[in-house]
Amino acid sequence: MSPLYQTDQEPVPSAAVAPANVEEVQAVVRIANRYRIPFWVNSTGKNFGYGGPAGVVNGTVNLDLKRMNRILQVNEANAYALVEPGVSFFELYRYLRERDIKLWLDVPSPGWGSIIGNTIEYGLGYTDQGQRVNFLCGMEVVLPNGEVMRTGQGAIPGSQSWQHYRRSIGPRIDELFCQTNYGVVTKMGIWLRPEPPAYLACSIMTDRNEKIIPMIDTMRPLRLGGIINNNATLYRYPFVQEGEENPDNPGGWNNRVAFYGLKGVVRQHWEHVQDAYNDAMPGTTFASNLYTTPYDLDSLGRSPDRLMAGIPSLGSSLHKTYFSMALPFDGQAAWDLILLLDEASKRHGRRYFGMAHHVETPHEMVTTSSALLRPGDDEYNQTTMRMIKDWIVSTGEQGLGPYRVSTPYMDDAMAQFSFNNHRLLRFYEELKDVIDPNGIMAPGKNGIWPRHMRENRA
Amino acid sequence: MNHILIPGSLLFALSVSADHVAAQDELVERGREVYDNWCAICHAPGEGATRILEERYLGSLPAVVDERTNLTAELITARVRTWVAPQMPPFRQSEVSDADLEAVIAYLKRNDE
Repeated sequence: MSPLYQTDQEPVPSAAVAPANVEEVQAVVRIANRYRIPFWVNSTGKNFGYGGPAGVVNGTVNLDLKRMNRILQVNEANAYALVEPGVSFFELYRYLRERDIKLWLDVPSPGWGSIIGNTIEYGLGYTDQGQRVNFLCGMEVVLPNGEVMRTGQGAIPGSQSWQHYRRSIGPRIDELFCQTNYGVVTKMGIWLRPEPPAYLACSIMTDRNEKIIPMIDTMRPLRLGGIINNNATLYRYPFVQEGEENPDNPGGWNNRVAFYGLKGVVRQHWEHVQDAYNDAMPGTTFASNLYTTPYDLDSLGRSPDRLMAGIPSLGSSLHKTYFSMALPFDGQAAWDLILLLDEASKRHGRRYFGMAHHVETPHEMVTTSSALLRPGDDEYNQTTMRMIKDWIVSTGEQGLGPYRVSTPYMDDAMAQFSFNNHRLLRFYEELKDVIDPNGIMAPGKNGIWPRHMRENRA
Repeated sequence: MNHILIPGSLLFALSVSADHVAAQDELVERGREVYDNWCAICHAPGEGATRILEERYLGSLPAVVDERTNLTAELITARVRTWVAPQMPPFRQSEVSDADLEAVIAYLKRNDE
């Protein structure tokens, strides 16, 4: 939810429009252009963790794409799907299982969200396709003038390889439509993974918070070297709700890793990983579950092993607000960030002991930091908002920045990217002025404002 | 031979009643589909909302929502359309239409006493 929920400052849409197909999206966009009406796009999700579904500007119309819910193609042999924005992870998962299509998908923790929406907001999953945007292959986009464009090989009429190859000639531009306000994505190809012959879901556990340092440093060569291949995630362990930790011993970490492949190979990789942790961190404890074909995935029940097998679940970020950061894949950097955010939190009467760290790719680590909100408690929520703005500035001063933030802090977050007098933001806004001269699409999204509204910047 | 004479109006009434039952069965079946698609994700046995309700009811009421027999249409509507329960998000028209909601209500009330 938004920390502004049910306050006077909460942005409220003036209307909602729910087109059923791309032609209706074009019509809506053209009308918005004619009358200079700003709109904000929602696919299926509710965006609870990142500020809610409303736009940054009060009165922005919500363009709700849930009715565009067709799974246009699933190609089992080449392991991809082509979907519309209204297709949720649950829906594609059911589609695959009901037809006994032996493909797995990558899902975030809340499975009700849109595959397109979550992917183009750089949402994470937990499999070996966890940085899902890297598995995006081809888009169809309605531009702010109402024209339809297809990216990559899709720009060739009747393309045979739209979901097979990600580029055309010239630059690959799909990420211009990720986390921005340059167009409405109406179709997207997404690569899936063939069902592996074996799946080994593992936990590596430590008992102290500061052991995040050797834990990450022990993982690094394993991840870089391709022994660990999934979005290996470190969770606080045992999990204690924020605000209820014992400050003297807030607990340790559980590093959740997965191996996919031949049974003998995944076992060997796991033994190697355990040896590495035992050598570097005596006292580390381990747990694992091996699953092999034919899978009975429903038998996983509520197991945390579901997520790393790409099985969507109910995830709850209802009463949280996120500020998610990129940081070096380095144990000391992770620990220093925890201490920095704890110091900043103390200034607001709160504490911070670390949140989930995700090693999305062999080279990239992020942390999804969140703070609690209390519906109806304006004072508490205002404090949360001030604290997160403090986090943003404090980390920016240390050369660290976010990769995804909630709507109320988008300007604050973008302000940190200030190299050479904010040249990056000025470039984004130069593009904005060309692509969307009337500034109708999602003004203020991630701090990118149309020319006539830049005085609104917070 | 005995003949039983059935008045025309009674035949008409029986026919209308049969049509009504068939339409109601269809609505309940449609409601079951909507429930399976939208509600069971959290409210099926063992899922998150069921576990929360198990702790809340401690056996005094079924924790699996489609096993309840005392839900009112007003309560179901409020739960689906507004954010009244902290853990349950509301669902908008483009997700659960008014017709879907009517069907879910029929499904959840199919076993009412």
